[in-house]
Amino acid sequence: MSRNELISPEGLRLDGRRANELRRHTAKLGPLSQADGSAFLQHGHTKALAAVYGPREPRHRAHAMHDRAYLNIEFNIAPFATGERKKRNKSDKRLLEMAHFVKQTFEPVIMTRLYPRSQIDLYIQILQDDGGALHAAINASTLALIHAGIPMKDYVCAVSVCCYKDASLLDLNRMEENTEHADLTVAVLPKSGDISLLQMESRLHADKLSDLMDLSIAGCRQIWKTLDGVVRENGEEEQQKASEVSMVLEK
Amino acid sequence: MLRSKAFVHRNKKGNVVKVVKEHYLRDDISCSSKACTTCTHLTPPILASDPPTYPNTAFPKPHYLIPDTNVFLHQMDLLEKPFLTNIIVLQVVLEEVKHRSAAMAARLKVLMDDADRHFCLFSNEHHRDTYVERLPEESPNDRNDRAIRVATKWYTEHLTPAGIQVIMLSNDTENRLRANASHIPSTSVLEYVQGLPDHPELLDVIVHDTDGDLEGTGEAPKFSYPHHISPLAISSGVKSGNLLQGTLNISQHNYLEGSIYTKIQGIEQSVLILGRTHLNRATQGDVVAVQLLPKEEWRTTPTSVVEEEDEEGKSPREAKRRKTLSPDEEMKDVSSHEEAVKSPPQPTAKVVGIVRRQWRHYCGFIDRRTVKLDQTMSYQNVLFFAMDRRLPKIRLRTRQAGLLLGQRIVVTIDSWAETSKYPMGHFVRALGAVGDKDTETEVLLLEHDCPHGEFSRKVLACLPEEGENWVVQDAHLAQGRRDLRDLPICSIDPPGCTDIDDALHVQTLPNGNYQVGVHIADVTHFVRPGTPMDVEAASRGTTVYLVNKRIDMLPSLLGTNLCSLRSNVERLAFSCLWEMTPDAQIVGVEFTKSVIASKASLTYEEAQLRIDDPSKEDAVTKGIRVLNILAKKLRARRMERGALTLASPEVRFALENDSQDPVDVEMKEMKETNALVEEFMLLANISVAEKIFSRFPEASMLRYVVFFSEKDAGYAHVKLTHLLLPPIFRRHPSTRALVSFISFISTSTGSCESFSRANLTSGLAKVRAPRSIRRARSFLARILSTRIPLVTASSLELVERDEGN
Repeated sequence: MSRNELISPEGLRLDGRRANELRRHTAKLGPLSQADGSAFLQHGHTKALAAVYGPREPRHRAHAMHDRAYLNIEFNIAPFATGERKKRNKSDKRLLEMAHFVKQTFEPVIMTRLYPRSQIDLYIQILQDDGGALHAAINASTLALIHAGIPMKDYVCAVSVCCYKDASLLDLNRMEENTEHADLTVAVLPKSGDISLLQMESRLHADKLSDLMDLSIAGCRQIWKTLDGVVRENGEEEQQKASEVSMVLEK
Repeated sequence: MLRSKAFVHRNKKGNVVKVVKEHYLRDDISCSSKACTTCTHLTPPILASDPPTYPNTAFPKPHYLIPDTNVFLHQMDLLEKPFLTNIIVLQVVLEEVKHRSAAMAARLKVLMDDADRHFCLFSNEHHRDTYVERLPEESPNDRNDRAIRVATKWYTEHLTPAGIQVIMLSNDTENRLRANASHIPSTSVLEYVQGLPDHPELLDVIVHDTDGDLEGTGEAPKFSYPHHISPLAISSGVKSGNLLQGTLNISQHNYLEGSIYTKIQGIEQSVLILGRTHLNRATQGDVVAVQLLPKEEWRTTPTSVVEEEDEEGKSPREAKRRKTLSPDEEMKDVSSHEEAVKSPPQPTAKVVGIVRRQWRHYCGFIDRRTVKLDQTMSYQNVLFFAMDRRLPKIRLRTRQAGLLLGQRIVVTIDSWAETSKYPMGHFVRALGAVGDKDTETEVLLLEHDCPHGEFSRKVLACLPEEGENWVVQDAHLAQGRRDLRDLPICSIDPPGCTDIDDALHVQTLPNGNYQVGVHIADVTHFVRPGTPMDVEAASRGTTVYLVNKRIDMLPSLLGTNLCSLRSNVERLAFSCLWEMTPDAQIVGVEFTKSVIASKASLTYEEAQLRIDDPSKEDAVTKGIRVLNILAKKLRARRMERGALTLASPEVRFALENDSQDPVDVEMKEMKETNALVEEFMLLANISVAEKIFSRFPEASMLRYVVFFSEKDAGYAHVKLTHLLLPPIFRRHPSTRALVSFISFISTSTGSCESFSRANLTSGLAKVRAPRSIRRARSFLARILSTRIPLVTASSLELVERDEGN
């Protein structure tokens, strides 16, 4: 009966989910009017906002690459995102690291070769952090990139998993993340099942990995459904708007 | 459905933080009753479909019970009685129990794990229909009570079609009134138990509300203790240094005389707390907050106060109790009193608050004088003497006082009101007649907190399925075990030994050297880490040998059969094999899992006879002779290097044949063969230690670092954190005590030299250390009496060898 018992004898987690359940997640395309593409995504209480600018001319000449576009990613966590206010410096190592993870995830997926000598900017802001900031950021980025019309091989869907005793937990909230159990963030291309990010900062027994991977891929597929639904809905809306406009024009 | 829980709390640093948590409400939580057909049961339901109907006059229909938090906190002894089954533990209740008392939560967990008791957990907080939002102006407690009522109501409505009643069990009158108002069946514990005419003894187990109880009897004199201050005041007081905190230790001779060991202005010293008022209801082992008295009131030694209190004229009963001290002791008291006058006064304090109670179950007996024999079957207040003399008398309310006279009983303390001179307790169970052998054994085991129950079904389920018929199979050899069944292995143990855990062999190699092997029973094959059996064995720690019985650490199937290297049976073992020159120099060593078949299990005496009998020429006998010669050489070399020998004589009880009563105690004789076995076990430990050190120097090995400089004279710091012990022992208090003890020895003797030399033995006897160190010494003695010392002793040797290099 230790204090950090993550799962009750009945099989419920601290917030009432079962081990293999995601938090409630919703998303919205185009919250920002100025950006070329933007998305807002909510994963339980974790809220992420992503904005995409470009492809456009590189800001520094050094970034111009003759064969592909340069991907510039900034990751930031708002000071009010956690219970305790904490102002983060832009050069915060943790933030740079997160940005790097996102970059690693998207570099092979975005068709950067279509835009040589240009730059794509992706700004990610975590407005509230209740665990899983990285995977929320990746999911929001996918939507924002789609919204900007940047060609990608596939959606990138990410989720975190954790191994707790004999159970594998999906989509950790802050309380679960703060325990000493190994947690793993996985980003998957749902159609091919390719894994584009696998990130963990603790040790895990190799035997447990396959279970965790199965669970996380299943979780990513679920997220994909949501994201895909949002994109299609948005597409229909846009289409409707366009047809309304054309009708008005015809008149 | 989603609800957010938002609340503000203060974190460790003292900052105020707002926490927002998600809270999902579900519709798929089952009621866990076998009688229910509407729920989808994701896990097998726990509650029986036909809860046994005891002849309960109050509730004749089949029913489940939903107790509230206070019932779990205060009536645990009652709930542990096996007749109460089919109880629904609400999540809100469980969380509150966990929050309020870890001990009760642990006991509750045991009950919930017991499949026979049908205790089920219902996550009412996550159930869509039973979740309640806290109303404005409603206290958390009221909200929880309401949650219990709502859950009971839900259960009642849910299970009425199945014909099962659900009753809320609460001693809170207001809660019950509100329940009645909304037609929720409820009852008090007393009412419920009174409805069970077959179990009158249970009434004594119920904890009574103590308030107002005493005035009614008129027995208590006008007596009042000072108030205890609030926990908040304690923590701020301790922080500011106005108060001191420590664990109260009561004198063995006088329960009104205690002390705590704490730091006063950075210096560790003992603080006296004397007399009933100053002790202020604190009992042995409690963590207390004390306030130092002004210097004028400081006392010299405790004994002077004892007499003063006598002069004050306490009740004759107490005086009588004090007279139970032997005349010798009284003489000593007086003489030490005279001495004490000269010694400077010691810090003296009074208890102002109690941080944590250490109340447990106490064994003892009822004071005959307090029992009114003419009214045996009605309630009466009696006083109880605990076997542990450091405790005050405990007041009990019982109906069976007459029956309990002359019996050893178990009692626990419930409360100690300010106006009550003695704490109020309740009867838990009777053990048996005073003076009866089994009863007194039970008392000893209970008082020393020695787990001695039967192994639970869960533990027994970990045993191999074949049971007694388990045999070594080829599959075992295929797992990389070496086949050593042909070797002339034998075991040498005390007579009557059934748990043979080690065996030896020796064999001449073609090159003239010897192959010597030590084989230890491979218990790990049967006891896998983390299984209930492993956990149980770890909590028992060791097999306890009593005069006429033993309390096993592992179920006897393993201990005395499958993990006992008996002769002429094939057993799994862990072997350590050396190649040794005839001069007992080790040429090579290897470790392997193996299968062995011991050729003979000998007693020390038999082995000795075989050595001495020149007509015996079989392989085993020859082997023992060789081993004996090698052991002598090893021993001589070890002694030369200054090994540490701690004589811990083993005793044996001679039992009378029929009654199994002990009639005599005899010291076990040390024979040459004892030393033989000891020597090779030691050698095995040394080799294992070296191996582990070479492979896992970070995690496992004794790291011996001595920082010794002339500047801080006599300061030697011994870092013994990496004792060669399994992690479980590293965490064990005795190990920590050992570490602090050894570092103490080295600081007090002033050099590391003396620590590793044999005069540690004399050091052990001489050291007059502060209390914590004295405790460490007894721990050390205890460690040394088991198998662990071999490891420590060998590591000491290794240290020496390291120094030599």
